Amino acid sequence: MPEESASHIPEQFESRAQQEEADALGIWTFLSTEILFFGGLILSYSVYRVSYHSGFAEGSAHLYFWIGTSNTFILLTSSLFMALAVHSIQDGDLEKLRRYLALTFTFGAAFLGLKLCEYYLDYREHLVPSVNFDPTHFLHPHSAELFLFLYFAMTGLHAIHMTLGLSALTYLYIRARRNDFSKAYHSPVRVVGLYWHFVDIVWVFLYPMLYLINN
Amino acid sequence: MPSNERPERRTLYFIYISLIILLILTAVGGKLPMGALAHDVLAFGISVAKMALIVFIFMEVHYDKGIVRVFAGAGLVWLFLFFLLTFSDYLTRTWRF
Repeated sequence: MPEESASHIPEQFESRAQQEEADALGIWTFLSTEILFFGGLILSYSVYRVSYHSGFAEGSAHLYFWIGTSNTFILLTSSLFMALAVHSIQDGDLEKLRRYLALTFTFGAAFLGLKLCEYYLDYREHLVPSVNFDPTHFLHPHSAELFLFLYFAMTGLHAIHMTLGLSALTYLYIRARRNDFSKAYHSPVRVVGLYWHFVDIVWVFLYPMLYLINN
Repeated sequence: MPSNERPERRTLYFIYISLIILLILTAVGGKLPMGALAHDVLAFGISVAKMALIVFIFMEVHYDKGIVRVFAGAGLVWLFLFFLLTFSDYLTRTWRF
Protein backbone atom coordinates (compact mmCIF):
# COMPACT_ATOMS: atom_id res chain seq x y z
CA MET A 1 0.00 0.00 0.00
CA PRO A 2 1.45 3.37 -1.00
CA GLU A 3 0.11 5.17 2.08
CA GLU A 4 1.39 2.46 4.35
CA SER A 5 4.87 2.33 2.84
CA ALA A 6 5.18 6.09 3.20
CA SER A 7 4.28 6.26 6.87
CA HIS A 8 4.79 2.79 8.37
CA ILE A 9 8.10 1.87 9.99
CA PRO A 10 8.78 -1.91 9.80
CA GLU A 11 8.71 -3.48 13.27
CA GLN A 12 12.39 -4.54 13.26
CA PHE A 13 13.40 -0.85 13.33
CA GLU A 14 13.03 1.58 16.22
CA SER A 15 12.98 4.66 14.05
CA ARG A 16 13.10 5.88 10.44
CA ALA A 17 16.71 7.03 10.97
CA GLN A 18 17.71 3.51 12.07
CA GLN A 19 15.97 2.01 9.02
CA GLU A 20 17.81 4.43 6.71
CA GLU A 21 21.14 3.60 8.32
CA ALA A 22 20.48 -0.15 7.91
CA ASP A 23 19.60 0.44 4.24
CA ALA A 24 22.82 2.40 3.72
CA LEU A 25 24.88 -0.35 5.39
CA GLY A 26 23.19 -2.98 3.21
CA ILE A 27 23.86 -1.25 -0.11
CA TRP A 28 27.45 -0.38 0.88
CA THR A 29 28.07 -4.06 1.75
CA PHE A 30 26.79 -5.00 -1.70
CA LEU A 31 28.93 -2.28 -3.33
CA SER A 32 32.03 -3.62 -1.52
CA THR A 33 31.48 -6.99 -3.18
CA GLU A 34 31.00 -5.16 -6.49
CA ILE A 35 34.38 -3.44 -6.04
CA LEU A 36 35.98 -6.90 -5.87
CA PHE A 37 33.84 -8.14 -8.79
CA PHE A 38 35.21 -5.41 -11.07
CA GLY A 39 38.53 -5.55 -9.16
CA GLY A 40 39.28 -9.03 -10.55
CA LEU A 41 38.99 -7.76 -14.13
CA ILE A 42 40.91 -4.56 -13.39
CA LEU A 43 43.68 -6.57 -11.72
CA SER A 44 43.93 -8.93 -14.74
CA TYR A 45 44.09 -5.89 -17.00
CA SER A 46 46.84 -4.31 -14.86
CA VAL A 47 48.99 -7.46 -14.80
CA TYR A 48 48.77 -7.93 -18.58
CA ARG A 49 49.28 -4.27 -19.28
CA VAL A 50 52.57 -4.32 -17.35
CA SER A 51 53.63 -7.37 -19.39
CA TYR A 52 52.34 -6.29 -22.83
CA HIS A 53 52.38 -2.49 -22.83
CA SER A 54 52.97 -2.00 -26.57
CA GLY A 55 50.11 -4.25 -27.65
CA PHE A 56 47.74 -2.62 -25.15
CA ALA A 57 48.66 0.87 -26.39
CA GLU A 58 48.12 -0.30 -29.96
CA GLY A 59 44.70 -1.77 -29.12
CA SER A 60 43.71 1.40 -27.25
CA ALA A 61 44.67 3.58 -30.24
CA HIS A 62 42.01 1.72 -32.30
CA LEU A 63 39.18 2.70 -29.91
CA TYR A 64 37.03 5.80 -30.37
CA PHE A 65 38.49 8.36 -27.96
CA TRP A 66 35.70 10.89 -28.59
CA ILE A 67 32.97 8.31 -27.82
CA GLY A 68 34.70 7.31 -24.56
CA THR A 69 35.11 10.97 -23.56
CA SER A 70 31.52 11.88 -24.49
CA ASN A 71 30.22 8.89 -22.54
CA THR A 72 32.21 9.95 -19.45
CA PHE A 73 30.63 13.41 -19.71
CA ILE A 74 27.15 11.88 -20.12
CA LEU A 75 27.58 9.59 -17.11
CA LEU A 76 28.97 12.33 -14.82
CA THR A 77 25.96 14.47 -15.79
CA SER A 78 23.56 11.62 -15.00
CA SER A 79 25.23 11.32 -11.58
CA LEU A 80 24.53 15.02 -10.92
CA PHE A 81 20.85 14.47 -11.78
CA MET A 82 20.73 11.41 -9.50
CA ALA A 83 22.22 13.44 -6.62
CA LEU A 84 19.64 16.19 -7.33
CA ALA A 85 16.85 13.57 -7.32
CA VAL A 86 17.89 12.42 -3.82
CA HIS A 87 18.21 16.06 -2.73
CA SER A 88 14.69 16.88 -4.02
CA ILE A 89 12.92 14.05 -2.21
CA GLN A 90 14.81 14.88 0.99
CA ASP A 91 12.95 18.20 0.68
CA GLY A 92 9.70 16.29 -0.05
CA ASP A 93 9.46 17.62 -3.62
CA LEU A 94 7.95 14.73 -5.62
CA GLU A 95 7.63 16.69 -8.85
CA LYS A 96 11.34 17.50 -8.93
CA LEU A 97 12.14 13.90 -7.95
CA ARG A 98 10.23 12.63 -11.01
CA ARG A 99 11.91 15.18 -13.27
CA TYR A 100 15.44 14.36 -12.09
CA LEU A 101 14.80 10.59 -12.23
CA ALA A 102 13.65 11.01 -15.85
CA LEU A 103 16.79 13.06 -16.66
CA THR A 104 19.05 10.47 -14.98
CA PHE A 105 17.36 7.73 -17.02
CA THR A 106 17.66 9.72 -20.26
CA PHE A 107 21.40 10.30 -19.81
CA GLY A 108 21.95 6.67 -18.74
CA ALA A 109 20.10 5.45 -21.84
CA ALA A 110 22.13 7.87 -24.01
CA PHE A 111 25.32 6.34 -22.56
CA LEU A 112 24.17 2.82 -23.46
CA GLY A 113 23.02 3.91 -26.93
CA LEU A 114 26.40 5.49 -27.68
CA LYS A 115 28.14 2.41 -26.30
CA LEU A 116 26.14 0.18 -28.66
CA CYS A 117 27.06 2.43 -31.61
CA GLU A 118 30.70 2.10 -30.56
CA TYR A 119 30.42 -1.71 -30.41
CA TYR A 120 28.98 -1.64 -33.93
CA LEU A 121 31.88 0.52 -35.18
CA ASP A 122 34.34 -1.84 -33.42
CA TYR A 123 32.68 -4.78 -35.17
CA ARG A 124 32.89 -3.06 -38.55
CA GLU A 125 36.61 -2.46 -38.00
CA HIS A 126 37.19 -6.16 -37.18
CA LEU A 127 38.19 -5.52 -33.57
CA VAL A 128 36.02 -8.17 -31.86
CA PRO A 129 38.13 -11.09 -30.52
CA SER A 130 36.91 -14.59 -31.52
CA VAL A 131 34.24 -13.05 -33.78
CA ASN A 132 35.97 -11.12 -36.53
CA PHE A 133 39.34 -10.00 -35.15
CA ASP A 134 41.77 -9.07 -37.94
CA PRO A 135 45.39 -9.52 -36.76
CA THR A 136 46.80 -7.79 -39.87
CA HIS A 137 45.76 -4.40 -38.37
CA PHE A 138 48.31 -4.76 -35.57
CA LEU A 139 52.07 -4.97 -35.00
CA HIS A 140 51.42 -6.94 -31.78
CA PRO A 141 48.24 -8.87 -32.66
CA HIS A 142 48.24 -11.28 -29.71
CA SER A 143 48.55 -8.69 -26.96
CA ALA A 144 46.24 -6.25 -28.83
CA GLU A 145 43.63 -9.02 -28.99
CA LEU A 146 44.06 -9.63 -25.25
CA PHE A 147 43.50 -5.89 -24.65
CA LEU A 148 40.35 -5.92 -26.81
CA PHE A 149 39.06 -9.01 -25.01
CA LEU A 150 39.44 -7.18 -21.68
CA TYR A 151 37.89 -4.05 -23.23
CA PHE A 152 34.75 -5.95 -24.22
CA ALA A 153 34.60 -7.89 -20.93
CA MET A 154 34.93 -4.77 -18.75
CA THR A 155 32.68 -2.45 -20.77
CA GLY A 156 30.18 -5.32 -21.24
CA LEU A 157 29.99 -5.98 -17.51
CA HIS A 158 29.64 -2.24 -16.95
CA ALA A 159 26.85 -2.06 -19.55
CA ILE A 160 24.99 -4.89 -17.75
CA HIS A 161 25.23 -2.83 -14.54
CA MET A 162 23.94 0.22 -16.40
CA THR A 163 20.97 -1.80 -17.69
CA LEU A 164 20.14 -2.94 -14.15
CA GLY A 165 20.47 0.68 -13.00
CA LEU A 166 18.03 1.83 -15.70
CA SER A 167 15.56 -0.88 -14.57
CA ALA A 168 15.90 0.33 -10.97
CA LEU A 169 15.32 3.94 -12.11
CA THR A 170 12.17 2.85 -13.96
CA TYR A 171 10.94 1.14 -10.77
CA LEU A 172 11.63 4.32 -8.76
CA TYR A 173 9.88 6.48 -11.35
CA ILE A 174 6.74 4.28 -11.27
CA ARG A 175 6.69 4.45 -7.46
CA ALA A 176 7.30 8.20 -7.54
CA ARG A 177 4.31 8.61 -9.89
CA ARG A 178 2.23 6.71 -7.30
CA ASN A 179 3.45 9.22 -4.69
CA ASP A 180 5.12 6.41 -2.70
CA PHE A 181 7.98 8.61 -1.52
CA SER A 182 8.01 11.55 0.85
CA LYS A 183 10.35 13.67 2.94
CA ALA A 184 10.03 11.03 5.70
CA TYR A 185 10.33 7.91 3.49
CA HIS A 186 12.69 7.87 0.51
CA SER A 187 15.26 5.19 1.33
CA PRO A 188 14.87 3.32 -2.01
CA VAL A 189 15.77 6.51 -3.90
CA ARG A 190 18.96 6.88 -1.89
CA VAL A 191 19.88 3.17 -2.26
CA VAL A 192 19.46 3.23 -6.06
CA GLY A 193 21.35 6.54 -6.09
CA LEU A 194 24.33 4.95 -4.33
CA TYR A 195 24.32 2.09 -6.87
CA TRP A 196 24.12 4.56 -9.79
CA HIS A 197 27.06 6.62 -8.48
CA PHE A 198 29.08 3.43 -8.01
CA VAL A 199 28.54 2.43 -11.65
CA ASP A 200 29.65 5.96 -12.60
CA ILE A 201 32.85 5.57 -10.54
CA VAL A 202 33.66 2.27 -12.30
CA TRP A 203 33.49 4.10 -15.64
CA VAL A 204 35.66 6.95 -14.27
CA PHE A 205 38.44 4.34 -13.90
CA LEU A 206 37.68 2.39 -17.10
CA TYR A 207 37.86 5.53 -19.26
CA PRO A 208 41.61 6.29 -18.88
CA MET A 209 42.47 2.57 -18.66
CA LEU A 210 40.89 1.80 -22.04
CA TYR A 211 41.00 5.02 -24.07
CA LEU A 212 44.11 6.83 -22.87
CA ILE A 213 47.03 4.43 -23.05
CA ASN A 214 50.05 6.30 -24.32
CA ASN A 215 52.58 4.43 -26.37
CA MET B 1 21.15 9.54 7.73
CA PRO B 2 19.22 12.49 9.18
CA SER B 3 17.87 14.60 6.31
CA ASN B 4 19.38 17.82 7.64
CA GLU B 5 22.91 16.45 7.24
CA ARG B 6 23.52 16.51 3.49
CA PRO B 7 25.26 18.58 0.83
CA GLU B 8 23.61 21.84 -0.22
CA ARG B 9 22.28 22.05 -3.75
CA ARG B 10 24.96 24.52 -4.85
CA THR B 11 27.63 22.13 -3.48
CA LEU B 12 26.29 19.46 -5.88
CA TYR B 13 26.66 21.86 -8.84
CA PHE B 14 30.15 22.85 -7.69
CA ILE B 15 31.20 19.18 -7.47
CA TYR B 16 29.76 18.53 -10.95
CA ILE B 17 31.76 21.42 -12.46
CA SER B 18 34.89 20.13 -10.69
CA LEU B 19 34.26 16.65 -12.17
CA ILE B 20 33.94 18.08 -15.69
CA ILE B 21 37.17 20.09 -15.26
CA LEU B 22 38.91 16.90 -14.08
CA LEU B 23 37.50 15.04 -17.12
CA ILE B 24 38.94 17.72 -19.43
CA LEU B 25 42.30 17.45 -17.61
CA THR B 26 42.26 13.64 -18.07
CA ALA B 27 41.45 13.91 -21.79
CA VAL B 28 44.01 16.67 -22.47
CA GLY B 29 46.64 15.08 -20.20
CA GLY B 30 46.30 11.81 -22.14
CA LYS B 31 47.50 13.58 -25.30
CA LEU B 32 50.40 15.49 -23.74
CA PRO B 33 53.95 14.42 -24.72
CA MET B 34 55.00 12.73 -21.47
CA GLY B 35 56.44 9.37 -20.48
CA ALA B 36 54.10 6.36 -20.21
CA LEU B 37 54.53 6.22 -16.42
CA ALA B 38 53.80 9.96 -16.02
CA HIS B 39 50.62 9.48 -18.08
CA ASP B 40 49.47 6.58 -15.94
CA VAL B 41 50.19 8.41 -12.67
CA LEU B 42 48.32 11.52 -13.90
CA ALA B 43 45.31 9.56 -15.18
CA PHE B 44 45.10 7.40 -12.05
CA GLY B 45 45.53 10.41 -9.73
CA ILE B 46 42.70 12.30 -11.47
CA SER B 47 40.46 9.20 -11.36
CA VAL B 48 41.04 8.88 -7.60
CA ALA B 49 40.19 12.60 -7.17
CA LYS B 50 36.96 12.12 -9.17
CA MET B 51 36.07 9.05 -7.09
CA ALA B 52 36.65 10.99 -3.84
CA LEU B 53 34.34 13.83 -4.98
CA ILE B 54 31.58 11.39 -5.99
CA VAL B 55 31.91 9.18 -2.88
CA PHE B 56 32.12 11.96 -0.28
CA ILE B 57 29.55 14.41 -1.71
CA PHE B 58 27.25 12.71 -4.28
CA MET B 59 27.14 9.50 -2.20
CA GLU B 60 27.06 11.57 1.01
CA VAL B 61 29.74 9.52 2.82
CA HIS B 62 31.07 12.82 4.21
CA TYR B 63 27.76 13.19 6.07
CA ASP B 64 27.37 9.51 7.06
CA LYS B 65 28.02 7.88 10.43
CA GLY B 66 31.29 6.09 11.21
CA ILE B 67 29.95 2.58 10.67
CA VAL B 68 28.71 3.41 7.14
CA ARG B 69 32.12 4.91 6.33
CA VAL B 70 33.84 1.72 7.51
CA PHE B 71 31.60 -0.40 5.27
CA ALA B 72 32.18 1.98 2.35
CA GLY B 73 35.97 1.73 2.78
CA ALA B 74 36.09 -2.06 3.32
CA GLY B 75 35.91 -2.92 -0.39
CA LEU B 76 38.80 -0.58 -1.21
CA VAL B 77 40.96 -2.10 1.55
CA TRP B 78 40.43 -5.60 0.12
CA LEU B 79 41.07 -4.32 -3.41
CA PHE B 80 44.35 -2.79 -2.23
CA LEU B 81 45.41 -6.14 -0.67
CA PHE B 82 44.37 -7.92 -3.88
CA PHE B 83 46.70 -5.68 -5.94
CA LEU B 84 49.50 -5.63 -3.36
CA LEU B 85 49.79 -9.42 -3.08
CA THR B 86 49.40 -10.06 -6.83
CA PHE B 87 51.97 -7.48 -7.89
CA SER B 88 54.41 -8.49 -5.15
CA ASP B 89 54.48 -11.78 -7.08
CA TYR B 90 54.40 -10.60 -10.72
CA LEU B 91 56.81 -7.68 -10.37
CA THR B 92 59.44 -9.70 -8.48
CA ARG B 93 59.49 -12.87 -10.63
CA THR B 94 62.55 -11.74 -12.59
CA TRP B 95 64.54 -10.65 -9.54
CA ARG B 96 67.81 -12.53 -8.98
CA PHE B 97 69.52 -12.61 -5.61
